[in-house]
Amino acid sequence: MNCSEAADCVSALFDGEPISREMAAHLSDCEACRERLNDYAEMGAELRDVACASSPQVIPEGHWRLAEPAAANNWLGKWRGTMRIPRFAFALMILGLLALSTGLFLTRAKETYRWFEYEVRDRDGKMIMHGAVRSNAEWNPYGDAEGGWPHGDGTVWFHIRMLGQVGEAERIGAKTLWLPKGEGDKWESLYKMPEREFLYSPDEDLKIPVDGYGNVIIKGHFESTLPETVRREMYPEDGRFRIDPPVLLVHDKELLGKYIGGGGELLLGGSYFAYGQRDQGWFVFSSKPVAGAVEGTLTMNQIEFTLDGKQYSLFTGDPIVFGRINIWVKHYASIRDADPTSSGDGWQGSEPRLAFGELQNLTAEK
Amino acid sequence: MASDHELWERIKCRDASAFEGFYRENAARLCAYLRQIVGNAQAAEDVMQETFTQMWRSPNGFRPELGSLRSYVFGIGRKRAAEWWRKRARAPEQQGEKRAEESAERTAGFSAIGDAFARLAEGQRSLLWLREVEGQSYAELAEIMQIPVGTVKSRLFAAREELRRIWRSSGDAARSKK
Repeated sequence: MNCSEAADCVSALFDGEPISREMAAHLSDCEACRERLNDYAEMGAELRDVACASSPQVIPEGHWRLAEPAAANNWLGKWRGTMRIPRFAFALMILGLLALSTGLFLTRAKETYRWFEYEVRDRDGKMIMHGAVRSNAEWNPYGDAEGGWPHGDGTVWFHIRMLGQVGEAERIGAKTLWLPKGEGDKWESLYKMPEREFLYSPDEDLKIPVDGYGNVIIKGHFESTLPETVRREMYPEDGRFRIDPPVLLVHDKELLGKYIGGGGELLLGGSYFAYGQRDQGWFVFSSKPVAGAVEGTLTMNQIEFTLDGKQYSLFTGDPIVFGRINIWVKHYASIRDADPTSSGDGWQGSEPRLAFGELQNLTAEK
Repeated sequence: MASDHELWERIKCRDASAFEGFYRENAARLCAYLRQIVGNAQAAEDVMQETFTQMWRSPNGFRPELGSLRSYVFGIGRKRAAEWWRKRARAPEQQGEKRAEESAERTAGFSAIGDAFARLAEGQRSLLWLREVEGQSYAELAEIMQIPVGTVKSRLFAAREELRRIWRSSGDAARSKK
């Protein structure tokens, strides 16, 4: 055996793999192979030193806590456990120049929580934005707000999120970025900035230093109930339904249909809304008892009901009402028309539909 | 201490405290490994976060008979890092400049072995790091790298030889400057 034949066995030997007797005999006599083995050992030790030097000194907070189960294998659970609400803080931004996100965020519907009403002020004490976000006691992030505020010499950008309750205080995570004039197109760098964590006590001024800018100031207080000002932004008025697509009909974890057209709003009393698809007929929903209807529950954006022993759910993109009410569901399995109260054949396509109408038109059985 | 199988069952049942423990134990190590692949600390942390998020969102695919839970998460991390490179390949502007910065960052302040290591191909860096630093077995390396065990052995040898060649030549260069 020569050194070139033995070389890969040195590597295996170094990894603790068994080697042949012939190889062992060669190694005992071969200076070059022993040198190779020593080099491997030295390289390994130094690599481990490199690893120690390059490991993060602080383990960052895991973003996985923000993630819900994947839609692919648990989408129904996701819809049940969450609801979509507008990122209302953006709607309150004062300045049109701000790049606002129109996205929605997911938040849990059934946890205990409190509300943090806050203001964000610039380095001169001028209010940039105000809003309210939901808190809970389980340290789950629940919402965020972001925006930018222009000055003559540049724009300050910020992203803040409430991380959780600590007694009477609140943990707040903040990313900030100052972009001098002429660098405004780099605002997405905000997301790459490190998130700093602050502990905020109610009614105090929390100064968040921003490199090159000064301080962004947060001030706020906590409410145990949803502030009325916020509620008006997020939910329909009392006494009204609001149906915002998408609308999904689900039976026993199977998605039966999805409506993605326009929505609507109507009075709770005296009106109905209906979801229909050609292979399922119409499902008519009313806040008042209707002859032939079954009673179900409507919680925020989720309706649960049972028909002929089968569990159904209807989900919408935004809360239908604020809170929880009883709802009556009437199924018109044999009517596959554009209007649930009509027998005309006006439904040409196969896409699901929504309909709205007066309850009095439902009194006659079809 | 819970076995990998027990821990996995808890994670699948959405046990956040179990996953938090797993994260705490492995996040920094995975981050250090990913830094060797993607080249800069921020990108490595982003990929690390994506890796754990993916695992938490979709807790499936782990097969205890093929390796440890740690090797499984390193395997996911490696795939996510490959995706990161593919995305970057689609945005080629400033790439040469950034690669130079990343190479410098990867090795900045490190030893001669760090410099030599940074000059290896990505696959060799990955394999050597997992073996030398993480102590993964041949079987685990085969699972992470998606290659046969025999190939692990031959590639490890090739990577060591290449590292040794660069390392020794840089040592010779340093000696000749003196």
